[in-house]
Amino acid sequence: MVTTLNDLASVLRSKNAGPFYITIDLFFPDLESYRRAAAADFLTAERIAQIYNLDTEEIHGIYRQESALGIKVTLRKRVVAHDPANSDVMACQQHLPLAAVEVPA
Amino acid sequence: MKWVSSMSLKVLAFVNHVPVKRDPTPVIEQALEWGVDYVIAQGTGKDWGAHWLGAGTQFPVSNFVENIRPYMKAAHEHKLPIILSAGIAGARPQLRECLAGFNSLCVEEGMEFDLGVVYGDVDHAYLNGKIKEGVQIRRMDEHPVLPEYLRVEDVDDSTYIVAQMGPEPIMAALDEGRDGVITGRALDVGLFMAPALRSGASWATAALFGKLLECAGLALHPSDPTVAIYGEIHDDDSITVRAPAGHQRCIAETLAAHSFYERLNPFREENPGGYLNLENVVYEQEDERSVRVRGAQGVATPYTVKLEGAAPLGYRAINVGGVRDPNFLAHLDDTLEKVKEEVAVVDRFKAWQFGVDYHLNFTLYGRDAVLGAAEPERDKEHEVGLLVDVVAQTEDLARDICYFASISLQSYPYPGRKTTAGNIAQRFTQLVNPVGQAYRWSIWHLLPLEDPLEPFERRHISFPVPEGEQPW
Repeated sequence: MVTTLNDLASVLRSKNAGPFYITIDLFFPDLESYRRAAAADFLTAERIAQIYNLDTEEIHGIYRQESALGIKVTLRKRVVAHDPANSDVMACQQHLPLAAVEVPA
Repeated sequence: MKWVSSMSLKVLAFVNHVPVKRDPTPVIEQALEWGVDYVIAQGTGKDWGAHWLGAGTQFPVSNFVENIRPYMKAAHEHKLPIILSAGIAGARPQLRECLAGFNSLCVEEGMEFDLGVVYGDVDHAYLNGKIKEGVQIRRMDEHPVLPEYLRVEDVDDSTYIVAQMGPEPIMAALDEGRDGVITGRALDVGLFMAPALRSGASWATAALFGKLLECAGLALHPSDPTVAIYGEIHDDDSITVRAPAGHQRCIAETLAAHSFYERLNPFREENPGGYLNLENVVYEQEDERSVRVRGAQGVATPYTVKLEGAAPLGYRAINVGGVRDPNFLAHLDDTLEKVKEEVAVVDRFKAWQFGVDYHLNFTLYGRDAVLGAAEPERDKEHEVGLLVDVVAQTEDLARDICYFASISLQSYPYPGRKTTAGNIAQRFTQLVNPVGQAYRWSIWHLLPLEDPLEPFERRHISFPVPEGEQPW
């Protein structure tokens, strides 16, 4: 059976970190699921860039904090919050491409 | 009024712009039982985008008044000083409106508050003076849409300019207002740092205290910013955070997770004059409703405040409709491109340049509207919500282009069309709906200051003010 980040995480959200960046937070219910998702070779800048159709240099950072059972991924926006073409001005629905990613067993 | 002498500080905090859903009286009573030195509530932010700042408007002020009412009644009754930031974007027109609302509340409830008021506005001429003196005002985020250093034209383009004041102007205002302070745009954390620094807390503890409490019940479980939070700084520089609402808990992991919220980097919290290193912070569960926190480190940096400015992009007009016919859905993307071309070449709009004088965007709800090219799920649609969105130099031009594009789509002869009476289920009879002005962030820069008080005007106002007077 396939396990996605959506299956594993208890909180999976995206939001503006200011108008020029999107930040995606993932929190896990226990240490075991956190460690599965936090494995260094799983969520890499290359992988995130591929999922979001971005260049690697547009991935601002990937942060892992075991005491919070949390992972943060911050992306630079191509279409900034005030762009007339922006359709998610608070960026709170941008987590879904990451949510669909399969987690290795 | 009760001021703090030894190093213990107890704060009841809420967020004053989010509508209160349940009566906070039991929460306030619980906090009073634990002891309260200050009632603090942030009410400014940039999360809603550049519109409020650019336009100088906000939600109806009744939202602010009704949200603060029960807390102000308790503060008045128990003689607790208040610290509020107000007005969403927090520029002068919004702060004035909030102060007038606060005054009406005092009249209605028979309350008196002697307050320091600090404006968050930064004067255009003052800022241009800095630029001309050669002060380097660097962009806060390394994003190519922002000029690297602030220019006179960015200042001149902006309708309103504010800065996130640090704790220092609030501390100065606390010396002037016997019963507390109301500010315009302010750093949320600074509202908490001001009384903490005044009562002798270290810079790092004061900043961590603010960080933990600024979003109120959002940091608790279940997460809810409409519910208050309670915090205490102890003698040993540790902090206890408590959930004052019976239905919420304060959980170590959830509180730690709050440091992620809306931040680029969860370990580094930038403030005027320094940053907080959160890497070694320890969260220790005391009981179901309280967590002890310690271990933040402060690192000094040159003192800067974040400037925010908004400039008009143009006037916006929209058309909203639905597309259901599978024949049209199959040709929708092509048709939209063709309509864009029609607008670009037709005589009546030839003088205007696409992307400069006007923007024409189609948002297709049901077809990648939200995620665009990153959408992982495709080919599931049976209907599409179509938003025709125009931003142009004048309202008339925006309405005219929106009308032209909407009518063209309504009657477009796409290949295989059978619906010769119309292609789109229109939502509104007026077809084209003007929705006000659109703004962009023209200033998102860091202003270096030798004196943290310098740009911020302070006043001393005793509420309620004599009838007919408007000292704000």
